[in-house]
Amino acid sequence: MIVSDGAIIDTYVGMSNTGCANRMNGGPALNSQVNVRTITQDTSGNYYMMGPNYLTKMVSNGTIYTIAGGGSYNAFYNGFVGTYVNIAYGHGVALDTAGTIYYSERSGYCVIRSVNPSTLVVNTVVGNYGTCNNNGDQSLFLATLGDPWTLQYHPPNQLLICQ
Amino acid sequence: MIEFASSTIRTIAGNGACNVADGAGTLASLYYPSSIWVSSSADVYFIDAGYCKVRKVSSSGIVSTIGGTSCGYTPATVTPSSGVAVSSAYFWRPQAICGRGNNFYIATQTEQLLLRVNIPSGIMTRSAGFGFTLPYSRTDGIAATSITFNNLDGCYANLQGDVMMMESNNAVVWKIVSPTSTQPLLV
Repeated sequence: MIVSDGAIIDTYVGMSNTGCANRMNGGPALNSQVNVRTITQDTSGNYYMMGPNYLTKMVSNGTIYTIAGGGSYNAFYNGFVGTYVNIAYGHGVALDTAGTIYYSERSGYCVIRSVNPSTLVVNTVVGNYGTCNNNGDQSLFLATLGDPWTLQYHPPNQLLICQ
Repeated sequence: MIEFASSTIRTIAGNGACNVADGAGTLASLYYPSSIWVSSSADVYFIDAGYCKVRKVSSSGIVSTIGGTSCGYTPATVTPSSGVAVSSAYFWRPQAICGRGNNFYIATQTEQLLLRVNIPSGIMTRSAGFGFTLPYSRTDGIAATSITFNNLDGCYANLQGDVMMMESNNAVVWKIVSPTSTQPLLV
C-alpha cells in the first residue's frame, strides 16, 4: 500500500525565506527558518535535521531544538557540547541504534562528527578537519575523507558515507 | 563505509576515477555520488549525480545502474500514471534518494519532481511535484502532484510511510501526508 503518491501536501518545517530570525530552540518548527539538507528519525518519532550550519531535533509536537551548531568551536575541536560547536557545510545525518547522531561536514572541512545522545558532546569520528582527500582504506584515526555528503547507518555497526 | 567493530573505513564502491563503469565494487567508477539509501536487504542505492543516474551496490558488492540513461528530461514522468520504467528514464538533475520498504524515491532538482520507484517492478510513479513550470507555488493542503517546487533537493521516507521533502530555495520541509491514518502505511 502506497499512500503518498499525490496525497495531500503540507508544510512541515520552515516558514520560507522571509528573512525572519532563526528560532530554532524551543519554538514551533513551522516558525523556524531552517535550511534542511537531510533528515533521519528515531523510533520515538523525533526527527533529526541537518542543515549547513545547524543540527536540529524536532519532537513529535512540532517543537524544534538545536542539537549542535551556532557556537564558535569548529571541527578542529573535540569534546564540546553541541551548542558551542560551529558547523560549516553540514549535510548528512544518521542515527545508530544507541541513539548516537552522526553528521557530515562537506567541502573544505570533510569530517564525520558524532553527538552523544546523553551529553550532546560532539567529537570527530573520522576525517582530518580541513584535509579533503580520500586517503584510502585504513583506520578511522588516520583516514581523511573527500567530500562527505549523505550518511546512512546500517545495523549493527556500519555507517555508510557517500563521498 | 565505517566499520565500527574494527574502527576502520573501507571503500565499498568506486575506483577513484570519475566514470560510470559497473562491476565489482572497487572496480566500478562513480561520478559525483550525492545521496545514498540502504534497503532492508542491504542493497545500497545511490544517486550518481555527475551522469544523472540511479545506481546500486548490491549486498554482494556489485555496482549496477538502475536508471538514468543519460542526463535529460523525461516528459512522460510528468504524467502521474505514466508507469515509466526507471531503467529507461532520463533524469535531468537527480539529487537525493530515500526509501522505505519496497519503494525508493528520487528527488530531482531541475524537474522539481519526487518520483517513486517500486523496487520489484522498476516502475516509476510521480509522487509529488507538477514539474518544471513557473510560477513556484507554495500552498498547503493541496495534492502533492500540484506543487511546483523551487529546488527540490532532498527527501526522507519516515517510519510512518510518509515522505518529507526538502526545498532548499524556500528553506522549507514539506510532508506528503497520508490521506487516512488507518490504512497500513508501508508496503
